[in-house]
Amino acid sequence: MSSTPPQRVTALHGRVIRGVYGKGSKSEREAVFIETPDARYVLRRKTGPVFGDTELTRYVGHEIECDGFVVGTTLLAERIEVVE
Amino acid sequence: MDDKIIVTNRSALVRKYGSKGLATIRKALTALTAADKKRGMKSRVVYLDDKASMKKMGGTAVMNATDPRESKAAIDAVFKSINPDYLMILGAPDVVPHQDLDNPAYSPPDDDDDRAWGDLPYACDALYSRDPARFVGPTRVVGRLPDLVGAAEPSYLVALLKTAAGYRSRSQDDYTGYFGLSAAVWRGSTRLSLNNIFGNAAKLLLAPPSGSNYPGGQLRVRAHFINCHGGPASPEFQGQQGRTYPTSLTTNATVGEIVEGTVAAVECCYGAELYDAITLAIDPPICQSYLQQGAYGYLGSTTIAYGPADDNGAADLICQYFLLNVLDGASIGRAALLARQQFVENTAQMDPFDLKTLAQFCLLGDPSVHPVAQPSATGVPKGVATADAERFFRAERRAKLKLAGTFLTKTKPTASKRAPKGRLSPTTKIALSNIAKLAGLGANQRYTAFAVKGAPVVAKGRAAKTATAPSRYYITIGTPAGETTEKVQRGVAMVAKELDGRIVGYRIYHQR
Repeated sequence: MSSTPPQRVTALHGRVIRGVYGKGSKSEREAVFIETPDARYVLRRKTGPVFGDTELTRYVGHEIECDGFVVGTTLLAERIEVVE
Repeated sequence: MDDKIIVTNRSALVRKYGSKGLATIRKALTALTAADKKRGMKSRVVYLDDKASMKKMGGTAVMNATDPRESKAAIDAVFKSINPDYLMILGAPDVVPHQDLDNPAYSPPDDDDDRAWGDLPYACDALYSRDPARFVGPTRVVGRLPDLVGAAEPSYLVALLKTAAGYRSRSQDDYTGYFGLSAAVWRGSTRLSLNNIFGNAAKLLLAPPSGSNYPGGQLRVRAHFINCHGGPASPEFQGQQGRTYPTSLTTNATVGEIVEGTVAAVECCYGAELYDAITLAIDPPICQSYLQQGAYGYLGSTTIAYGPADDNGAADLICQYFLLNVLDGASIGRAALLARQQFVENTAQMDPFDLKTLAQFCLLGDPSVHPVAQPSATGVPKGVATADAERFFRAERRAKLKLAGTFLTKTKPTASKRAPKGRLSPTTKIALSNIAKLAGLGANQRYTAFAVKGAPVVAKGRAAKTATAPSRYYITIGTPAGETTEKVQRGVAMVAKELDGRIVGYRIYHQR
């Protein structure tokens, strides 16, 4: 195959943080991540922009629960809810 | 004798489209092979999972359609048996998989691509391996005509086959009015690229302010060069100015705007990633929109791409070479092979970022398509069939490409394997620290050492000459200090060459 096939996730819990994505590459930028007990994913709204999604900033520092798809190291969220 | 082989996986196609869908695809394939025949080219479809066909070719049928090793072995058998001038992979990676090369620059979370997916190994004689250093000498003309990952009806693929069957070559003038799009912060590099390809950068569009729509019809020209940001599983590219990343192009904005015969070279990260838009219920990749609308070829990256700050390197170069070869009259498949060879040839040693670049760039499109018709300096006398003459000239070109690829395999030093760093000598430590300072990085960066393989042995004694390759590479990826006033921190990847315990050279790849 190529890249990881999308994996559906439901009620995934994690803390939202800011960080740098793709250091040194053509697409390095500050991104929003979700840190779960098992992994760290770049958090994106499925219908939101890849870069600079201001909608996500309100989740930074919070514990969230979300549904969506994990594609490689990115979580494409369809639903995000603050739980803390 | 077959000039062009189309490889695919019947059971994978049936799983996606059913036998009725497969019949529709076969009809379109028949039309393509008939069109090829009219052009004097004999084409044949080979199902990699067909036991009888594969046995005839001395190979083994693919049992698991998603296994890169099996598909690589089967395609190698096709080349050994038939040695076609063109190999077209029919289908997305859920029909014939990309190869799963290791990404030597893998350094999570900074570069989190554990694999540099692509079709490079299919273009090489070397046996299956995950080590990209094994594939620095490509010799085969290969391209992929992809369907949509996860699709259940074949109209997309049928449309692409129809484009390939009905293609026509045009004059070079039809490709000189270009669409050149760059993130505003990378204007210097893109201007250089456009000048190298087209002889001018007058039509360079910067994002912002350009994008995401082009109502002035700027997309409706046939040569495209794009140097923007991109992301995984995304139908958008982004520009950049300071800390803003406005959308520069979307799948949606390309609909109805890409003209038949377009050829695109796209540097963006993930610019040719064939993600599963159907399961995700999002727009398909921009690359697949191009092909759907009649683009003949698209060269792009499956993963995160690299390039230097104010110059051309890595992704810039492989994209430039591709378009230059297309403009020179090569088929898109030969243009891609030449671009790979030229990229390796013009790189003194393949460091981890060069290896990733080579591995990740893929050609989408029928490799036998010649977008530009260039008059040949060699005439064909009366009485010689044009097809026979063309077959002879093609054989000559392939022999030359084979020699070039074999030479590169034998001679190109590579650095894909991490080496134990050991204790750094004080001289090396100081040099690395000084270069890190130049790059804006702290003195305490962590470095990964890579051993250089394949460097010529230097004679000792009176006849000794200077070594032509370093003994080790050190790489590090970091974020410069002092840029924290910006919301977006700009990182750099630094590569330093060590020779006999001394740092003798370095390169710095900036975020662009």
